Amino acid sequence: MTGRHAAPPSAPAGPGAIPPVQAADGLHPLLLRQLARLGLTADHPPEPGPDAGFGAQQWRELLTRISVAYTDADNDRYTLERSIDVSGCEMAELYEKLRTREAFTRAIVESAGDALITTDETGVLTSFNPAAERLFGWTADEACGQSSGVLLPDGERQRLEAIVGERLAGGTHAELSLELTARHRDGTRLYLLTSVSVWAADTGLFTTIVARDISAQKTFQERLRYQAGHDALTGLPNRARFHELLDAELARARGIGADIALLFCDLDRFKLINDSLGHDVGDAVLVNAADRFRAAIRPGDLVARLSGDEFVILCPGIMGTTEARLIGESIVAAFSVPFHLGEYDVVVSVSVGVVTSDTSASGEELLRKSDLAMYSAKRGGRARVHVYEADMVSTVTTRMEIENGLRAALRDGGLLLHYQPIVSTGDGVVRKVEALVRWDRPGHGVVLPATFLPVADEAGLAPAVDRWVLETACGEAASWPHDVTVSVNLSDRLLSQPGVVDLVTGVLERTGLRAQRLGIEVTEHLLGADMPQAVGALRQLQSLGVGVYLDDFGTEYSSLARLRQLDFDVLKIDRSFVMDLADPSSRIIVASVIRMARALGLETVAEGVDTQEQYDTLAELGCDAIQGYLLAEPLPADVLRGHLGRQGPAGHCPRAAPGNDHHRGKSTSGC
Amino acid sequence: MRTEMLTWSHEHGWSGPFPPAVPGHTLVLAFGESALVDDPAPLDELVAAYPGTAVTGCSGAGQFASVPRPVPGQGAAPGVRLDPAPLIVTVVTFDQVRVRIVAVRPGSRTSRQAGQELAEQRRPDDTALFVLSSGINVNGDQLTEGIVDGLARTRPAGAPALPVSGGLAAGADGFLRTWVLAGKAPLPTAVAGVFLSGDALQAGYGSAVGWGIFGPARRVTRSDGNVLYEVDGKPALALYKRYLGDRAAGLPATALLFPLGLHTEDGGEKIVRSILAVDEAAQSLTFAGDIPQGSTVELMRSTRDWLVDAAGTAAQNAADDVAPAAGRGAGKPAEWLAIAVSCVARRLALGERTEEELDAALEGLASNTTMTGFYSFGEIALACGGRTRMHNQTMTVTVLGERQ
Repeated sequence: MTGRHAAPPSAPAGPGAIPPVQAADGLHPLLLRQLARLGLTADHPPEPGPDAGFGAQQWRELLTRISVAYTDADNDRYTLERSIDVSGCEMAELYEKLRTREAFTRAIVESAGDALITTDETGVLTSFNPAAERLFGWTADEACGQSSGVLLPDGERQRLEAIVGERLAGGTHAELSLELTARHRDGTRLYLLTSVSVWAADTGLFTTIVARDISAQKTFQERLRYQAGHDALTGLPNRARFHELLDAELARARGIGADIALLFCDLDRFKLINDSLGHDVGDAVLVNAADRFRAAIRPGDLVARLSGDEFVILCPGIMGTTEARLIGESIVAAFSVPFHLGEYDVVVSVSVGVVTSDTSASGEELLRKSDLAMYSAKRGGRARVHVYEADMVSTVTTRMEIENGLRAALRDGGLLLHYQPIVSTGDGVVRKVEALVRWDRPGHGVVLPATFLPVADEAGLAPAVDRWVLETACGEAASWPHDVTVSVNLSDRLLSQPGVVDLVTGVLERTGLRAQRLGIEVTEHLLGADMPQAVGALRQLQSLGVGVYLDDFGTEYSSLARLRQLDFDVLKIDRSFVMDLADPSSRIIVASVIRMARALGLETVAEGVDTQEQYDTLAELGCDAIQGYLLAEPLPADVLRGHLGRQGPAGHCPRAAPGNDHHRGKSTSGC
Repeated sequence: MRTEMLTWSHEHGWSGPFPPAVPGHTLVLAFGESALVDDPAPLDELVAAYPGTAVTGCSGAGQFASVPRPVPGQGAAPGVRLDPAPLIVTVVTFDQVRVRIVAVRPGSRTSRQAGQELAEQRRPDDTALFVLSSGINVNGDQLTEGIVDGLARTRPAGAPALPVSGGLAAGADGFLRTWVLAGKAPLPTAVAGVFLSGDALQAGYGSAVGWGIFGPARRVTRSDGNVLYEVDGKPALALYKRYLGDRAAGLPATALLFPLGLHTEDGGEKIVRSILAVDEAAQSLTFAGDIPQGSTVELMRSTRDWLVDAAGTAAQNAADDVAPAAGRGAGKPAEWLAIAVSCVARRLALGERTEEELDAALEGLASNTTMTGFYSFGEIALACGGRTRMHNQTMTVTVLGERQ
């Protein structure tokens, strides 16, 4: 009982279903029904007369029914003809519309920037727009009628057919986007981005392909892929590529039971070069450094640039740390020769950290360990090779804690300034005060700069510390008596930065401190490191009245010639000479320095004076001023203020116990 | 199973005594003029004569019954007569098949809810449902959907879908008055459902249209419910006038020659919608069923020959539908009852040849078949997509028999 329902209207019980049927006896079914209604059959002609059952009335009714049937047929024909007529007109209108649309579509296709190609079910090209002509080098007339094989190589065509088959999955239509490699008429390979539409018919697949030439992009992508793995400046593999190579090499080495070594190489003080000589010189150094690395390694070793001034060398088949260390040392030696870069001769040393693969399984870990060893080499004085040892981890952890703590201190106000008076030997009056930075480190108490300034310097925090010191010291000094000068220690890095003059003048303006009351203490290193920008800035500041002090004189590769680079105002004799004053030779040196300084018009200050004997000797030698625990330790600002303007050793400056703070070292920025 | 027929007319009253009935096994079917709603005395008599028995029926735009015709020299031949009397009653008494009538008065409920409520009365052993509904104040589409939904919900596990057929009552005079009998006095707005149950029931269903599509497929660009304003962005009425030509003057009757073929949303089937009214001011056409905006429609046309032939096809399909089951049974039914529901639009289109489609239908059925039925405002039957729907323009035939 599923029911027999109406045949769908699209397959009507219409013309096809209604043949011009004839009943078995040759009469139209309608006529047979009409006869039946009147009680007649075709086989029994009506006999007249009421008794025979067929009268004039029945005759009339039969004729009427037949007439109505004719009229109905006429009406049906009218309807039919009109329908054909009107739908014919409608179809003609639609055809016109379609023709217009087709012309419009053709215009779009012909003006399209993308190639448009169609093929019939046999794979023969059936349309080929002008963009296709330009792309493939065939004219439409030449292309149409040919197999699509003239455009797509066999392998590519089979690949396309496989993808299409999969996508159709028995359906009748599929659309897909894919990249295809095609062939220009001249044989050139073309990379195409295509949209492919496929219609499945009983006879085969009709295909439309819209194609865009991406050959240029492909080439570009390939270049990008190379670039993605290589450093553009030096041409060396970059970090990402190095990791791939390292992992592959590690796996290979493990497979044959061999070891590899990593040499982590970091150029020393490279940032300073960048800051002082500019990035062009910095880049030139990197390019030359890469060449030196290449020249120094063994055949089969690999050099990569990880970032900035960090390089790494991968040495396969290494026979233990000794061999690795030797390679490292040959690299350090290679960097002892200056780079000739235009007008500059730049000496850049390199610190090398070495690790061998017997210490770790993963490339990542090896790299980290070699990095630690490199840091150790830096801390050990640079320009050297350190081999990784297990305790390096804790050293670096400490360093990281210091760095993070220092950042927090800068942000949250954890830094302090202490002030150490400098007393004139003539009248015992304090006319100069050196500002010295301290860090109130949570859990550690007040920390001296020797602990944290090297880290600050390596982490690039030194300029921020300097700026804070400058701002704070000038602000404090502005409230002091007008004849007292404050001096601050500024890092080479800050002094090399462009805008440092504006920074200092800005601070002076804000705090209201006269330029004459500010001294800047620099070390000899600044002169040795060839930093013209810093020297220029100091000259400019001097012209404004700021004093420039040469700190720690005699500790570095002292060269009297360097004194000519700047007209220093004050020369501070390093504590090491003061400590040995009892030794006659030291005494002669100090005496000579004082005489020389006086001859050059420089004021002299002796540092680290802890005893009365030292004081007396220095006064006798003509030293202008004295700084040290004999007179006063570095003091908080409020304590200092009470003592300013008063007399020195005989006055009220507290006299600390000698040697109280001898361990406090001076960094490049002083303390 | 026994089938007896009697008629009622103003001049002669009842043509004979009321045949006996067996409550629970007898179905009394009455089809008659819509005017009886104002003068329901014979209907009341009929209901009173069959207490506790399933009495149902409705008004039509014409009612018909098979009446043998005398053939000279051959006794009598099968024949159908249209409107032989204002009321035709068929009394069917089954031996085993049980008959139950359910009446729903929509009241404030939606037609869909009424359909659902009717369907929810189904019992597990029911094997067929025949529905007669008012043709006015009931949305036949919604009613049918409600019935289909309700039957799906109450379908016992593992049971086949319950077949549904039937139609909407009609009126010959301006479509305004219809009545439905549902066991009681005739009601202007009601839905009657006859549930037949028992394995002995033999039923078959068939319907056919006889209309063919022509012209291009068109999109409904503006419509509201069953009112169509625009196709392809142009006034729908203008399109009809263009097709009708000289006969546009005869709208809306002449538009019956051009119903719309409507593609359902899923695209799986097409159903026919005939025109009920035109509105010159709004340039709109009102159809006997919803024409959703955005749907695709096609104009349809026919000839009287196609319509007559389709009626025969519908009957033939119904006979074929039941034949295999009957053949397998222990004993073929000795007689059949065919209930034909044909669209009022077919009658209007066929005009003088209306009886011919009834003859054609009868010719498609077994010779031992009694046929009755009416011209309707909508036919409920399976559509070609496999879902029961309300149709227009179809001849729908339900054949019932009882295995012996």
